[in-house]
Amino acid sequence: MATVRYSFTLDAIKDADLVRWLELQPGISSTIRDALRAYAERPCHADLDAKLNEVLDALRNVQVVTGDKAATPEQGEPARAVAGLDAMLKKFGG
Amino acid sequence: MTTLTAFDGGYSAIKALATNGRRAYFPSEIGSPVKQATFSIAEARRAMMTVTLGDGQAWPVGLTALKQSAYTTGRRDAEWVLSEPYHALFCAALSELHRSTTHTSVVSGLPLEHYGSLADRFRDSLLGDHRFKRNGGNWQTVTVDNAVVISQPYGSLLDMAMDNTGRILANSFSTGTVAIADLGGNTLNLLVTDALEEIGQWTQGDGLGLLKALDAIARDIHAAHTGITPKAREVSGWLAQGTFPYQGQEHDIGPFAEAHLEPLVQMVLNRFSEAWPEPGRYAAVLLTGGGALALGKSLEARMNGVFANVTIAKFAPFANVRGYLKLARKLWVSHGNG
Repeated sequence: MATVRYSFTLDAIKDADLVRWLELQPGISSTIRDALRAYAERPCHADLDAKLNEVLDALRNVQVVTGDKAATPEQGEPARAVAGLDAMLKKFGG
Repeated sequence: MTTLTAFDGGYSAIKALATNGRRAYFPSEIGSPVKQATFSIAEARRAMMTVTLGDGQAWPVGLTALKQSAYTTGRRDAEWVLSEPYHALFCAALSELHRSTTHTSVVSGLPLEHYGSLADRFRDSLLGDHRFKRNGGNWQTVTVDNAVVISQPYGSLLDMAMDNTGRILANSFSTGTVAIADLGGNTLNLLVTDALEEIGQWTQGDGLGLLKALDAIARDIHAAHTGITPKAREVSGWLAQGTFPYQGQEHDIGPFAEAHLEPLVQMVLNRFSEAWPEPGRYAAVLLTGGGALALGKSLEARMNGVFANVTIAKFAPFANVRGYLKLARKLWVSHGNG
């Protein structure tokens, strides 16, 4: 397996917590690889923003119902709108 | 599980969403291609966006193109959706949404004016393998297995008429007669639907758009502040924030904007009068597209009392692409494909 080597430095005083933690790990290279991967794949600000938008969109579609209406089964899609969408999808070739 | 993709390549901005929660939003700008993209500083590399296509050309894209290239290509003709720079923009959006080689299904849109002449060829260009490198990294292939191309304003309508799973809601947008005005960078799409089906006689699209006004505002700013030569897409962002930067200070863009936006508002209202001479026929009017950010409030104020239920789409530039994603879920998730 081809390998790529990187070297980096830690400050013995400022980074003492990292040094202690690394030395407790069974494999330092694999630990650093895992840590880098976890950092690289973490959700970025745009991801969290997109997720928040999805939640807000979902909330916008929530219909608040009270009393007996709460027990009403979910209404189906409006039949005319379903037919209208189907007609448009045929036109769009979908 | 296949991640679904919604993509809209407007004349002003590229917008894309995926069912994995990621999104892309950057100016529709392409810089001069170079043979190879190289970066020596990791921080710069993260902030940059270049896309290398199969021929080895690396295209600076979006903000990177605006900042790094002396010459940028922001084409304004309909056929640009079939061009290589447009393909680079599409791949850049895919690289934002999908971080590895994968398969996806795409819903996208075209302006009404060019839908008939371009839809089949545009759909064909979306289908199949898209191989690219992001910022000189590893090659990545995104395979588009299914593609549906609808009209851009219809996407905005679906955003109002569907929930996030693609289920059609019972509201005035889905069941009533609705007028949709989609003001883009270089297009004005006027669509009328009844219960989600287009009514052709009241539907039209043409080349009136915001970019011409932005060009004029940019020229006026340059005339008053000769130390900068703004690009139309920069002006678009400045309009949203109300100021522009010059010599380290923020200046009010209002005096430059009003002179050019007010005539555009009047022209748009005139088009409404021509296309929709009987405003009493509509249960609701939806103002959408990037132009709705700049003009929506002025239009709404003058339409109230003439039209019923005038609504500015929430974060209007993304309205159509949200609708595309909802349609994608309706088309492909319910079939166990999502």
